[in-house]
Amino acid sequence: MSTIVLILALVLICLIAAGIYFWFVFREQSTLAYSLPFIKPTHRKLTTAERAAVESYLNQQNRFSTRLLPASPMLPSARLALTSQSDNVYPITRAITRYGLASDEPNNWRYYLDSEEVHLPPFWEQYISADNHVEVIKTQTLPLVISLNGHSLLDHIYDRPPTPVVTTTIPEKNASIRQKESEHVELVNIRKETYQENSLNRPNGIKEATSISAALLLLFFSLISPIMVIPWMIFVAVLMIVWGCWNLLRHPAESELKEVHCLRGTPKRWGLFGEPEQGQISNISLGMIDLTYPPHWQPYLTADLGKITNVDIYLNRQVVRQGHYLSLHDEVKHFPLQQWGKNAVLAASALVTILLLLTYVPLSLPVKLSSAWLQGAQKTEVTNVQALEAIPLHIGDTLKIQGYGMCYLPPDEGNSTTAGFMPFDCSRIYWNNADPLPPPESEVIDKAAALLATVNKQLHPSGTQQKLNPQLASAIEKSGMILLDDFSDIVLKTQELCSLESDCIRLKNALVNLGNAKNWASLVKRAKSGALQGVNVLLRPVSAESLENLSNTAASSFVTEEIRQATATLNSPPPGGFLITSDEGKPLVDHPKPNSPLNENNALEQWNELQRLTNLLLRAPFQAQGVITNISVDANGTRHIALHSEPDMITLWRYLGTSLLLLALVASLGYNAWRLLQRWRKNQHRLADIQRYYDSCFNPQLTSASVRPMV
Amino acid sequence: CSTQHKAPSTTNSTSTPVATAPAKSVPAARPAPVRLYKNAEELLGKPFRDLGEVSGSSCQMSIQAPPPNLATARKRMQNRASSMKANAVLLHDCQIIRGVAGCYQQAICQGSALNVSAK
Repeated sequence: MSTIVLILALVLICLIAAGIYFWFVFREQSTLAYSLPFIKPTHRKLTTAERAAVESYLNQQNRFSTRLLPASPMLPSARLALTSQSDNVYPITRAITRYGLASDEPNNWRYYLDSEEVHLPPFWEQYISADNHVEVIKTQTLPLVISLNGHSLLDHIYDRPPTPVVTTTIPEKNASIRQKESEHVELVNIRKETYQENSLNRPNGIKEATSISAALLLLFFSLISPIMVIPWMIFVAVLMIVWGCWNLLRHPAESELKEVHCLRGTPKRWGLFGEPEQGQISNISLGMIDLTYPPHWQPYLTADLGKITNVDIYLNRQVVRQGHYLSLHDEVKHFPLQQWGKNAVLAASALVTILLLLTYVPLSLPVKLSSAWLQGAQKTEVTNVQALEAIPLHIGDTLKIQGYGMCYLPPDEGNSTTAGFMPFDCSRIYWNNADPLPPPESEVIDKAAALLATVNKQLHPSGTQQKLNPQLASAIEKSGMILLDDFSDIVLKTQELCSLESDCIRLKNALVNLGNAKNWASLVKRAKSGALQGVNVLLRPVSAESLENLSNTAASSFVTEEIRQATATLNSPPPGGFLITSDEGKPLVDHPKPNSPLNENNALEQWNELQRLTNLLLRAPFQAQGVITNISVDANGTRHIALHSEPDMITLWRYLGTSLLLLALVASLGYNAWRLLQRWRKNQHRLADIQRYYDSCFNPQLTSASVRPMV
Repeated sequence: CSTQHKAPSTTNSTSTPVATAPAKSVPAARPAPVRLYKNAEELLGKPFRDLGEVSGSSCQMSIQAPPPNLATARKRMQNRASSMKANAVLLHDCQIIRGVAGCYQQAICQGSALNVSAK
């Protein structure tokens, strides 16, 4: 899993690095191309002659402007100066739009290529045509037209002596837009759009919300990543969050605010007879300017038709404000936009990340320890029970204990062979002042051991002691048969172990058959009377094996039961005292491990191992150290203390990070869910409120209910 | 050396010589029947006591004498076992050997006298 996370993180970092690189590269490309989007990137270099002509024109233009109107602030178009980028000449073919300014300054025409203002030398006014082939260079402020429809500054500067620009007397009424018609449109002012107006066109913040969500996910992955990658992931995540939040909360920069032209004129509706009604909203024009209106203004437009009205428009002729009431600014001000998209994204991503956190990262410990440390944890070291009993303990405290205690014996959960035999769990220690329990003893075990020993000795003779005459012994050996040379001893020891009639039935039947007896009772009677003394029994190897299995099974059942009882007896700790637990399952006692795995031993070996462990672990030296994660008292009055090994610095920060991330996610989920609901509800009836507001403005007597603007 | 050699009596067995009992007119008790087992497998399921090794032989005095009889040797072994209170004999092997003092060749059978427990 960690390699996948590592690869994921590296890929993410490379993507971000690549993104930043390409962003810088394309930004460097001529900003003129950015401001005049229709310009194709083909351009040529400005010749030196052209440069000289341009400089001479600019000097002449700047001298003329300061001489005529020294006090008035220069219009931006007048202050032209060449820059490093002025060497690129861009050929363009476009219509030129001209606006006249309602002011008494000369040369107050403003020329636009689409929606971008350019500086056109005034003496080329007469050469403007429907579609103009223009060559433009970049200056400090506005792009400068250096040739129009074949006329170049070169020709102008060298052919004719510099004559002052013809000053046009300001007509009483302002210049009309190109046509000489009777309707009169006056450009009252040029202003920047307000924040409210700008917010209508600004992105709804989903991109920034997505960036913040990705950052939260990255923070989650950093909790389960290898230590080497974590700083990088956190750094990238913080960057993404800062970028997202900054974009969400900042006001638009001055440069982002679009220009609004405040015009005054008489809006008129044009249309042919029989034209369908629905086109109504797009056939109103102000002089030659076809206006486009927000759809929900449609019912109120007739009020201003045919009257002199102030109309504010963007360069793309979209109306922003008209008349006394219709105003996008007021709409946003009284009925703020309810952008609930970003809240939905943030709430959903917080929920997903919380689910991932709950699934993959154990939360109880980090949250417990973080809160304990915030409230201040103490450090305690004790070596005797009384000292520990006297100290008030809290979760989060650091505890170090050294002493003698007894390893915990987990109760037998039914599976006696495994649970019974795994008697001691030294990751939990009983620590009290009571005397240690005596090691377990059992007669039954001895009887079982005796039976197993005699069967084993006869079936697997060591060859040292031979009861038969040599010839008979070798004949039997040659035949491959197995000889029981003390059958009586097996019978007697079986009877001692399996004293009840219902005990070891299969073993007893086998011995009855081998002994050629009528029944078990008579066989035991003969054995006890000595009648079986010296009797040998011959059996096949397979019979010998089954006899061995039968005796092992019989003995094991008795031994296992004895182990279970002994363990139950040991698992009765005295009241009071402490049960110290390592919640990571680490052993608190250092004792020699058995050489062979415990479960491979037979029953008797398990009993022997139990005795060995009991001698070791009923009173064993132990050491426990760590942070308290849980404190409880059981019915026996024993205080259970769970310890977790003290986290190193990295784990500590991981815990703190987990808690903080969880807190942040819960807060984000709560806040965004609440805002989502609130904004979604308001958004449902915002348009209706706006229209009711306009109704109350246009027909005050009609609407009695006052419209309370949404905050 | 061979002249000093005393010719063994035909009924002689390799084990300790039988004491010749004074002839009494008491009829000889019929020996209890001794079962002959030829291999150990036949003893499966029959608990037994081992009474010791036993053997029986039959001697061919001279070259002209009739050859030694294995059956006789086996019979003599069983009788021997019977006298040891055995009710069974596990025959180990019978063979005809030469070079036995006093016999041109001798048939000898060896076994183990057993007391098999009845049910």
